[in-house]
Amino acid sequence: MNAIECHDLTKTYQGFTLDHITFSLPAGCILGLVGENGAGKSTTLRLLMNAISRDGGQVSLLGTDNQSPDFLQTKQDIGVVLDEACLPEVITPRELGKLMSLTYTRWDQTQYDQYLAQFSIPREKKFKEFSRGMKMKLAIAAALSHHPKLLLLDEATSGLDPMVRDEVLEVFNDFTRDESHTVVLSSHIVSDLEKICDYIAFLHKGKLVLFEEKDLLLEEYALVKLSQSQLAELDPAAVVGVKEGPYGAEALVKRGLIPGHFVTEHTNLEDIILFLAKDGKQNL
Amino acid sequence: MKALLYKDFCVLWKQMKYILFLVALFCLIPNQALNLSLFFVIYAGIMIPMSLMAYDERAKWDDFAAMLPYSTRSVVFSRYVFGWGAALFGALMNVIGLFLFSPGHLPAGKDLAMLLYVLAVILVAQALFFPYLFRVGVEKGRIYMMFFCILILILGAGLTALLGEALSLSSASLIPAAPVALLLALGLCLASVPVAQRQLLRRVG
Repeated sequence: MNAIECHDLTKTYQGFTLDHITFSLPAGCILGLVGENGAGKSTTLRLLMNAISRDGGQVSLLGTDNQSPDFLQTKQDIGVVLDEACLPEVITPRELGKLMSLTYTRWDQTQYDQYLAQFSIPREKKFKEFSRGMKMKLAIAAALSHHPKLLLLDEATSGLDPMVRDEVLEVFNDFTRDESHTVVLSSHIVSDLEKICDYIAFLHKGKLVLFEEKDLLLEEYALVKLSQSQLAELDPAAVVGVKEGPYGAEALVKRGLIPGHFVTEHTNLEDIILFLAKDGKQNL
Repeated sequence: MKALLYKDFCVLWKQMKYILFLVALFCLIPNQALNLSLFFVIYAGIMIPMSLMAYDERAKWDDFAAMLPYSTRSVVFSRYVFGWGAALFGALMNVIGLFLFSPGHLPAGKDLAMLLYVLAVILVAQALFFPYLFRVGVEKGRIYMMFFCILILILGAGLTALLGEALSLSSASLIPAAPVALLLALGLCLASVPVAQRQLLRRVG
């Protein structure tokens, strides 16, 4: 079963349109949703949860249409972390546990206490007194402690120091050891997504530029350093993006479409995203 | 809805316990000249839920709550319920005060009737204000409420000047009408709940 099915999802604001987003995410996978600031990542996550109403398209999460009355019950199986942990500033972790126990029918207080201990979160400290990292860890503890099947994480690792980010990413990785558990992690820190994601979705100016398995993506694309004359040899269909300089060019190419004599270099996700985001040619 | 009421109670207790204490005190002590105690019953029923909405707005709680398994109806209705609870708290303090400080420890019928009319005013105010607050938020809604309250005060003063004795609770007909007024106001308040739901949905897009 697909954890998320999204067909022609559209939302229009003044000056911005999320334009016919279509993808299907199998259960048990981690999807990295990447894009520049204002690309539409948060809007997409909110639309998936029906927190804002869509202008077009269809969405189903865990097999349920997100606009059906049954979706309220399905939300019991979905954990959410937003980019700002939007909790009342005077609430303590202990009170948050009580609040969540009244919210989720499968709330596991023991598991929540374990996460609080693991993340070293003081139980009686007010939320407003926490650092950014502690706030996110608290939000993550709450999202994980009701046995969700799907986690939606909106920039959950942004603003965290590398040690905390690594710790948090490890938690998400552990979460998906259960094959029925799925994670959607939106971020503009591409290196985080490269570490743990199975699928990558790249949003650029409201459009879904690509949705692909990460390993296939890294296999499909390569970097090539070449001269202007060599660049002219290449099939335009093979060239995804070019950075031209006074002495040559660097091109992101589709490995299978270029002649064998070209020396390719291994690329990473960040390079692919940067080249795609710059829409082709760019002068250095 | 229990979760939302629990959250509101936590916030209220931690952010406003001293104001709550003052409200309770002023509701308790009757003041014949200025009816301050009744003013604080109104304050409890309207300003306390509004303050809670303001705290939620500041924390962006609504953005998060929209992602949680709360229906729009429970989000909206919990505000009304909390407002009714706050109003009843103020009313209870006022009744206690009436029993303590009235001659012979027996409140006059007109004092109790006045309290019922005040509760009716709170319910009407909630019916009018809450949908607008859900639509525009508390920060913008405050200005509208201020103008509305000034308008009500001017109308009230004008009606009192025109109708005079007929509006006094010494008039026999107004005392038994108090429960009826309260029931009508409750009906109006309940009718505003779905309106408030639609306004909240319009605000979040």
